[in-house]
Amino acid sequence: MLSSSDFSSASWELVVRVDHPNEKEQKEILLRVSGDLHIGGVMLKLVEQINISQDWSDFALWWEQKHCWLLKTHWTLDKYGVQADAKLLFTPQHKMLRLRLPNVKTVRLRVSFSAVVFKAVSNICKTLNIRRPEELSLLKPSGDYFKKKKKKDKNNREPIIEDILNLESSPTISGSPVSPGLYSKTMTPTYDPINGTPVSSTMTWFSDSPLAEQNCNILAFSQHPQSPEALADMFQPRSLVDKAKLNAGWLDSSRSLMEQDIQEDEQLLLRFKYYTFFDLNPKYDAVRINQLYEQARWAILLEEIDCTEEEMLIFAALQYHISKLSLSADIQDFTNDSEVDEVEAALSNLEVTLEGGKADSPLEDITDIPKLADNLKLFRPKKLILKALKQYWFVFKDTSISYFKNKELEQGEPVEKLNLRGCEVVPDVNVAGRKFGIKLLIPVADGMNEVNLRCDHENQYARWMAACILASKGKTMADSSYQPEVLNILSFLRMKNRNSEFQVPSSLESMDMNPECFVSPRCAKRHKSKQLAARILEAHHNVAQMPLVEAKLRFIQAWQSLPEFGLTYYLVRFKGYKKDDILGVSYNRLIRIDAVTGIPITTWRFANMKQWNVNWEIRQVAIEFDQNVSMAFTCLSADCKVVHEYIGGYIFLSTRSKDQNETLDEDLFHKLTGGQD
Amino acid sequence: MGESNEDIDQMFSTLLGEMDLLTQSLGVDTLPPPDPQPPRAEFNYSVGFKDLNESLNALEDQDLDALMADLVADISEAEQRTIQAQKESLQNQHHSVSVEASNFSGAASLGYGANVTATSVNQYEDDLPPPPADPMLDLPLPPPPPEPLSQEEEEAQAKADKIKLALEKLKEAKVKKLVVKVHMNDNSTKSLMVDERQLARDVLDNLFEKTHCDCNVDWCLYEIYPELQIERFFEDHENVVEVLSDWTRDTENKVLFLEKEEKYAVFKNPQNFYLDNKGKKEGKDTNEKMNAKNKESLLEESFCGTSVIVPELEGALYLKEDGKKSWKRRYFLLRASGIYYVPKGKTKTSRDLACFIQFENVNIYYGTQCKIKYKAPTDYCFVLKHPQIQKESQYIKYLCCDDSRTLNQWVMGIRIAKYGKTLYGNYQRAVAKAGLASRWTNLGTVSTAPPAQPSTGLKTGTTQPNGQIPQAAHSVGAVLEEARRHVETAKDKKPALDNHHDAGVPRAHHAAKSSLVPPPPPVRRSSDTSGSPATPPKSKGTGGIVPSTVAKKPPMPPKRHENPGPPSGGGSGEQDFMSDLMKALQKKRGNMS
Repeated sequence: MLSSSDFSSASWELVVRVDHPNEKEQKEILLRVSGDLHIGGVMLKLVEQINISQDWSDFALWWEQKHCWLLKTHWTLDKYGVQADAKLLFTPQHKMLRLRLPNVKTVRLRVSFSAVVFKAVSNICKTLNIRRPEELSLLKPSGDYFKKKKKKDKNNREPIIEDILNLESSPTISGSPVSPGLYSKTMTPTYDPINGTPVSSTMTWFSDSPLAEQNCNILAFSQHPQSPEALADMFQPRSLVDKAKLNAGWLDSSRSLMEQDIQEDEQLLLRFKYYTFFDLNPKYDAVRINQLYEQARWAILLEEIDCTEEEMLIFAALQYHISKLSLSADIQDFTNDSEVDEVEAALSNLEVTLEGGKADSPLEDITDIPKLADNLKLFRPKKLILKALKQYWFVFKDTSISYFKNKELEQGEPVEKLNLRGCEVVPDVNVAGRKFGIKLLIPVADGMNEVNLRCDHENQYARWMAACILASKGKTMADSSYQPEVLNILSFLRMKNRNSEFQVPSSLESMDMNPECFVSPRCAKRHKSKQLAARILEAHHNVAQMPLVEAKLRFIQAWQSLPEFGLTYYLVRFKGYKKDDILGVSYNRLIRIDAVTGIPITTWRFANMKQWNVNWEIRQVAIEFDQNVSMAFTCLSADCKVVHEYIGGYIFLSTRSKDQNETLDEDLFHKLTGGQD
Repeated sequence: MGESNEDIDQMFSTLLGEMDLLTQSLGVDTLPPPDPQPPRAEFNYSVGFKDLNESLNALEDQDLDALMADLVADISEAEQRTIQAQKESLQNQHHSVSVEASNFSGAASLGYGANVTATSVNQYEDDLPPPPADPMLDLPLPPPPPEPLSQEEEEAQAKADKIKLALEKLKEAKVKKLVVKVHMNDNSTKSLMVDERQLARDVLDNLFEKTHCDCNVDWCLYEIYPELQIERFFEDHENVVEVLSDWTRDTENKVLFLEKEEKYAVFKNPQNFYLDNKGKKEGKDTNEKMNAKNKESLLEESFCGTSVIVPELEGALYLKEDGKKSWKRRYFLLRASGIYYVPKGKTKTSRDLACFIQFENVNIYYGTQCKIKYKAPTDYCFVLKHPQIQKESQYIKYLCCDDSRTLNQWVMGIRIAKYGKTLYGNYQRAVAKAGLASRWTNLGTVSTAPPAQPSTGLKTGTTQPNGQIPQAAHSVGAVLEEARRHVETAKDKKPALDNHHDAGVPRAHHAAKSSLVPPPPPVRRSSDTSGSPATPPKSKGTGGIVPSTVAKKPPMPPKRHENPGPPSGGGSGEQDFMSDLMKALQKKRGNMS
């Protein structure tokens, strides 16, 4: 049979190289084929000739010169145009890829190199348990991106490999020891260790995900904050033009990885590309929310997006809160959970009893509102007596503070009674200086009454501060949030302590945290560490009671509220202009921005868009809007397909309906973003 | 459950119902500013209620003690004795209180016997937009009696239920009420009873029923500070009593009921706030008009996403310098996190901005006639101050815009930043209300807003505007449908609550809640569904139609005198009723031990 085809006039020799999984070298195999042989037949022949029994099902033919896969097995060689000079490669369609996730963790997993990127990302997201994969894509970083990163790795004690979570092989290999965490695979709600609220988030949206539970936790829990040095190392201030360069690397969603010259085991970034996050649901989206939070966090820490100082502090407070909650969840898992609780409870009980206050056990009279009474120092800035701290006997009851000349006069009229409802509470703390002040701005009919209290030590401070904070919200110390608040403040003080010599041995102490890890290096530089800590603490009061997922969502929302949120920049040349401009692409609009000053010049909203066209010849994107407004530009910092796909992608995303069960209309996506070939 | 104490509960509810009737009629009857109105300040703290409340506070606590004790009673015999002692003391207290209480109610409504049927009482409960709750009614809450027939588990369950109920009642018992004089736009005034759980929305609904206005979304409660020359509208989710509590006793401040188109301007023409000044190519003229579909999508984009989009707003404003009458021009920017300004010699980049103010602790007001009073460059001023500040102070911030358009943009922008999605929710509720009103007036019924719904609004309102967990957003079109459902659920909710202590009353009667003060007798309930325009919306008109219970309304004048004063002069007829109550209570206690 073989001989007959040998001598047929239409037959010729085809050279196929074979990627053999077990051998380093590629083997070349010579096949005698004819033009009417279909691809399936070629592969069959090939496997016969190789004569190694193994599963070849994932293998497919790759045509090197044309840079394409020969995937349609019923097509003949003639139809594909394959001739004797063609160099074919018989290679697995799925290959390993290293993906850096938004949380700067790298995972290694097997990805299809033959499916279009859109599809490949869908599958990756399925593996990682991220819903709504259309919002993500792969970004090929520009050359110097990882160089910067490597420098940082040298500072770290671990080699890079250690950092990578291998999702392909057995999950037990993974570097960090983890245990089933807050989220359970079964739908049973678990409980947040800090405030006891049920955290019913279930990780596995895709039940068939190969992801082991412990790996889920790595993806769903926020990472411990980076050291400020590492942060500074990663940090590089970028101009709009720099940012535009970064955005050139988005892969083409309608072509495969192989077609875009992605090598096996190459490192790519998996990022949320489109800034419309559809239907974030804490119930299913533990990984998605966490990764989103991480992407937002890094964007802010590395100043990829600008914010004001006040906003930076809110972000810092939320980060602190989140990392603390994540960590205490971890600790809870490692140690016996009751252990920590008991210690803490005993500690606080002891504190309370030592101070002569009342420990509130639940069976005690629930209507008995606990009170605090102690000697504190007071000073009022308005009085001309400069900085004179005077000691009084203070009694905190309900939501008000009364003070007396001394303890004996407690039954009589107080010197003054301050109702704290609605007041502003500002910490005035310097741990190293042993200064524990509470500044109260109490609104009264004719302005603000400013009162400064000074405590002697941190325990006293924590209790009074917590009481003040609760009272300002109209709550008394009977409220269940009082004890957590006290502990919160104490643990925060300990964080600040790290810089000084005081070391309070504590489980939370293992946190490698100092205030600088929560703000961008530029912001950290502007403040002294202690100042910064005090201000973060101040902002922290507003978020201290939030459960973990809510805090992350809050972070994401605050990020979304930034004016520059969701803008992706490209360097373009508008038709009819001589100067290069920046084009900002956002989820609802395009903005033309002056490249030098960064001032927005014109805004076009997608809502007003009538149609857009791409002239592939001259690589120009032309868009028409209502009221005969039109514009056209060529993209300088990236291929015009990238920009075109960005715009089309946003329009695609806006077509999504609220219906949960809706399957992704992949065709529509390609219709809106493709069109080149 | 609850059968054994049904009689007591019925009596409670009867009394409760009467109190409601009283409250209700009070509001209605003082409608034309009446002579007997005591010549007090603009709004009166209703002393009667207050004192009573205070006097009851101590006792309530002990009532709760008893309750708690009852919980653990099974555990030890020794404790049993103390409970007994407590109970005895409790009973004593009950006696003293019941005197007080009866004094009050007696004074309020002479001649109301216990002959009002329980069914109609329940309707009363539903009629009042706020849950009625009069302190003394909840007071003598008996420790849960043993159920004669039930299993031990059921007993325990019943107990737990009762404790829950008792706690609820206790909460209700502490409800503060204010009599608020509201100025209408025709210079008349109306006095309203506002309880501390009522939101501005509830009060508006109340006013809608009392006036013949068209209920459109522009109606608002408006507070005016003549002394500071500032004013603002109450946001619909705001708690009215809380706001009014910040006023000083001798205040000149007023509450107005009027239409302000600025209130929800952003939802009617979002383009004026979101698209203004953004693209220079799109001139202002093209922006003025926008088709409904685009408006809707713009609103959806701005308010229905994961976070609310605050309009981009920036420009030079005049800032009044602290304590001086000089104004300094600065470049201000609005962000979700607050108002910022560009410091001298700095650029507009985010990290250079200096924070001027954040919104957590301040309210926004319009300033009036600042030109005269503070030598402002224009009269388009807005003011930011802590709600508790009532007098001139350096902590009040005055800003001045070039024109009214800019002013409205800033005020609205700040409200969006401060209240976020809550504002949109308020608007949707207002639209639903307006829609319902116009729809249902034909049927002769006006629904009262379900109290449950607004209170959730309040809850979200207290969180940061941007910090809200995304909720399913309603498109405006679905609002009406939604609203109708609310009414339905409200109807259902109430009876469910009632069932705790009043199992005997057939549920069906609760549905007839739609008309106001005088409840139609149970028979006429069917009119609600059949849609016959039997019950006019206004309380006044119903007097003639409704039999028996309403016939008792006339003896009104005496209570008007009584209300503001301390409760005194007990009506003997009422006393009987109260002693019946006490007897029943004691009987129950007997069962217990």
